[in-house]
Amino acid sequence: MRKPLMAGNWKMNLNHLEAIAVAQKLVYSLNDKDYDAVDVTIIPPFTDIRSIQTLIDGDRLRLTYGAQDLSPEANGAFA
Amino acid sequence: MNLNHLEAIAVAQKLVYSLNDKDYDAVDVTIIPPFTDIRSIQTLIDGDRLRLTYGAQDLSPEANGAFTGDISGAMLHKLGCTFAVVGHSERRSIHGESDALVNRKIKAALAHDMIPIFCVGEELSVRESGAHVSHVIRQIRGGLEGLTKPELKKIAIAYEPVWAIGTGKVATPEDAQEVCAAIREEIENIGSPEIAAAMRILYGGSVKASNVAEIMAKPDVDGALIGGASLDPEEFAKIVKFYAQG
Repeated sequence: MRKPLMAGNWKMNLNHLEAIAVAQKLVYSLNDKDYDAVDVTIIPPFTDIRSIQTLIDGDRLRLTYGAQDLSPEANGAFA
Repeated sequence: MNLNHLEAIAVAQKLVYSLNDKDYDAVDVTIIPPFTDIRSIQTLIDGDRLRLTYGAQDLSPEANGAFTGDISGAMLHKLGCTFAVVGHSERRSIHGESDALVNRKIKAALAHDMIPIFCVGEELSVRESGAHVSHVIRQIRGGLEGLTKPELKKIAIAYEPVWAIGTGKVATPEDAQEVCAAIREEIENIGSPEIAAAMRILYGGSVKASNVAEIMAKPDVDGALIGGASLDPEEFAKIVKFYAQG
């Protein structure tokens, strides 16, 4: 049985403070039953990720998060 | 594309330990970390009221919307970015950014109260053909098209010969001066002598503590855009302190 995954791609919207507010409102509306039934993830802009991580880790939320893109390179001169 | 957010905090802390008020009075010092590090750097700098500033390596020309993976000027402004690098050669070559796109990004940075560090520079083949000055002037005209004089005043320019970036092959101070002087002359034409005289024109490309002083000694070079050497906080601090050398 494949567990449904609901992934919210925020695209280029919400600064880091708005992101925290939206994520908090989302988790207020979700309960353990929801997380048992559905994997829920949010995909904020890069600049919001640290703020979302702090929120989710701090409150031990069952929400996960991701990135909208990544480089194929390991590191180096890629501005 | 170096340093995760925890490494970024460590490097920034080491850098500020090596700098004092005299340094900040003499030189504006800014770091340009990856997007993912900016919030951590902001927290460090604000929390300790550091005189270091920070900026972003790129921004979207768009305000907001369906642009997955892109970062807007509003997001960067909210994170307290002072600067936004625009048109870096790696963006131009790897991501195909044109002068027209760079122009839109400069306007986006200005619209969100950030100082664009507008990058120009020629590839090796252009340098070898002797067309480097005209190439750079074309980039300057394209990037600054349609900007008002008050907007021009808010810009910094970085001349980075692509063949000298990360190659260890440094342009001579005379090479840097030739192109930086030509840029300033062009700013006189499209802006005014006053705007040109006040504009900060940086040189970038394999700048190190051992060569920064001779580059900075040139009359039209007003700073450096430092790549690899800025990842080493001791080396970066030595570069900042160039003014006290010799």
